[in-house]
Amino acid sequence: MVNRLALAGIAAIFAAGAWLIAAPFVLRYQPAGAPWTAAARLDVAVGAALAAAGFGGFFTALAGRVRELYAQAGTAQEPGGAPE
Amino acid sequence: MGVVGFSGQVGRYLSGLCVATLGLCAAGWLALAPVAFGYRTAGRPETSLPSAGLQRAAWADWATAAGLAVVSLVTLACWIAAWRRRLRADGILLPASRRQARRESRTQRRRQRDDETAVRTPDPAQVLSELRTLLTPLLAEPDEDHRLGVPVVPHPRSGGLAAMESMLAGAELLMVGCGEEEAW
Repeated sequence: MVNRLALAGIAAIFAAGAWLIAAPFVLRYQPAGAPWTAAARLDVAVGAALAAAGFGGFFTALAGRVRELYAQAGTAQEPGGAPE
Repeated sequence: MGVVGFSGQVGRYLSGLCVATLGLCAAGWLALAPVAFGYRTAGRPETSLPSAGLQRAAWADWATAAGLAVVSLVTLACWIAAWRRRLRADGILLPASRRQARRESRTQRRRQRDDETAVRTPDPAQVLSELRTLLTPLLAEPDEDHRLGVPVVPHPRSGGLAAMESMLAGAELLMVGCGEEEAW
């Protein structure tokens, strides 16, 4: 339960990053065709950083979980042996 | 568990903690940025926002910062809890809190008490069968028993009443035995 919630939290952070990238265009505080404003630049930069971190973190955590499951399955098949 | 497995698990938990911390920092930055920068580019009035757009940007940043802070805090707490649980399961971390240790000892005591109660309460069917096993050798020699004046224990019949009769007869036999010992 806690593991799933933690993974969901990372996915939510990724979603927040994606929202920050889209926000200037969705809320129209970046005029079309105009040079980028400071607000839009800041939001897109922070959003990109968050989205990248969330993407990487999610798959790293997921890979760790899958590795753990494989190790558990190996231990279950060989009761006396170590998983690795 | 090998070194690779351990480092993989540590990497998993560390990545989760790092992402949650980064989210918290980004939330703080987003909350401060509208106040700190004012979203106006100095010396370039053509890129400055109209006041409505500025307000929208500021509110969007603050709302996003608030949501992000909550999500990041929950995520951070979850990763800390998951890592601590894992360390405890691996035996690296002892049950730290006194309250948890007390709860575990209480659970163990309750389990022991339940076991003792289960041991103390005898199974009636088992008691009857043991009683029959005890009484069967006495019934095997009825002639000698008659000669000594020991009451005859009837064979157990089917049904609860028969079992009760058999038990009562056994008890009577025991009482007669005790009386004889006293007489001696």
